Amino acid sequence: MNNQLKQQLSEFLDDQLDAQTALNLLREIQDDKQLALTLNRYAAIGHALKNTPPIFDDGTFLAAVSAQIQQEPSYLLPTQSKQTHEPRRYQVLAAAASVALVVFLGTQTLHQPTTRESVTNVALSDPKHLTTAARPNAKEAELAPLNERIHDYLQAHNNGVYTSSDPGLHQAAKVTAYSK
Amino acid sequence: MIPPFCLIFALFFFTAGLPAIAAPTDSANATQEPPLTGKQILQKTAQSLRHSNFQGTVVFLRNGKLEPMQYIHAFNDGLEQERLLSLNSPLREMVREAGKVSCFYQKSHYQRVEHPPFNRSFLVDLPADIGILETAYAIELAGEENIALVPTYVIHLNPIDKFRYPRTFWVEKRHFLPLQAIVSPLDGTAIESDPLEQMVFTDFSVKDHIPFVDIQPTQPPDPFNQITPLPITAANFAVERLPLGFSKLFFNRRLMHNEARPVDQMVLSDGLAWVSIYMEYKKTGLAHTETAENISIPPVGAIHFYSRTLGDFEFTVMGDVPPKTVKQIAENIQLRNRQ
Repeated sequence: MNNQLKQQLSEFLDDQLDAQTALNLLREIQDDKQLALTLNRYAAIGHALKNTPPIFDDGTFLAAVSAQIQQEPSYLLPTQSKQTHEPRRYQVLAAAASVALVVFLGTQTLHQPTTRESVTNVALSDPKHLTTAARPNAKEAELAPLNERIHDYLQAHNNGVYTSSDPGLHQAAKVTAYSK
Repeated sequence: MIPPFCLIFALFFFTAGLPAIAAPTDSANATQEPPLTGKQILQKTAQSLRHSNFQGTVVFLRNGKLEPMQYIHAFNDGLEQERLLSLNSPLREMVREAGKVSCFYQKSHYQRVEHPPFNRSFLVDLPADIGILETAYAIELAGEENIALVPTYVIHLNPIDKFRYPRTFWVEKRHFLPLQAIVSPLDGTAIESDPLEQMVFTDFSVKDHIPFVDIQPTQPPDPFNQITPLPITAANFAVERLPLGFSKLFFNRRLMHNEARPVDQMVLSDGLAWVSIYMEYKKTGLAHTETAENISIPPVGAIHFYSRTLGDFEFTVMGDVPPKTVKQIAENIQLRNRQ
């Protein structure tokens, strides 16, 4: 994939592409599965990394899009003939649906109760709480052993710690390595 | 400039030419075969999760944070390998295969290897025999919905008491793979709008074959990650009056927190929810929070904690269950007299 296409995908997601170019890009996406996958990936990465309300932060509009998706899936069903060409392959590449989903999840993230966010802040999120050095004040010093312990408990309990982007959890993993 | 929603809908129509989203013959078959029950669908899901080759982009929502990851599941010669690649920092790759979970951090080149007692999927935990869930959950086929335009069965697991959370699975109808799973709060309201935890695929594909990745250890085994399974009776504590459906599955003694004295861990489960009981010696010379009695630590997603001291030991009970469950379990722990 050339850089121009990548640039266009990025601009498309940022709503900065002019109408004609956008339509041309969509036609290319129709013919190029890899391009559709890339668009999907860019959308997921972009929204997650920004950690801000993504392209569409209007809940009403999102709800309308989601409702429309639910109401009109039959328009997108493949034909019988295409099924016979690739009976096993089961690609799901509806990039727009993915964008909507990620946006929906992102919105949910923003609407999480503050109590849960405070859990992160207090218990796990600050890497300083998990290291044995650099504890600048008494309060952090008090929290550190407990947090380290809880982290270890979590890690022994299930795999969820690895699927978290919480920097505190992974900081602890590095400390473990260095301390050997 | 085209309005954004026009582009979205245009994209929908253009992607309509892509390969199958649902088999057109599904509806025809459905008329010939009796409809599946929720339990049957979940049973097929449990098998499909282990025996399928599939991959995609999965998003985890835990503790209010969004984590998109690339997911690959391979099944060859009776063995499975599950991989997750993070899309956010810290960049890392997790691999689960027979009896081992490895996590490799790209930046530091640190590799952590765990040997968990159970082969639990990164995606969802489903027991091999779904029937054991019926002790504590009512399994209900609630309907059908689309996830990322894919038709799915919606399966509710409604707990029969308040000692566990309701869960919902969206199971793709063709290959019986879970495209979405949520853990809901106890109040049962707004199941989809405010889950405690959520996993959802934004795209996925099923393959005929996916090769295993050969994982080579980059460093010697870490004694702090070694687990020694022991019989349940070896525990220096007993816990009685467990909530309905929970049973003791596993006990081990292991080193933790870079300390010399081992920590005991007992694992309980009702088939979906998992609870760990940790027992370790009280420490001296540390801040008071370390030895606080009967403390309740704030939850992490659906996971709640409860700690109490008993004699010279400190117990912490944790799991993806409501606070009252960890508290009840903790309060029913007794030290064994080993004289």
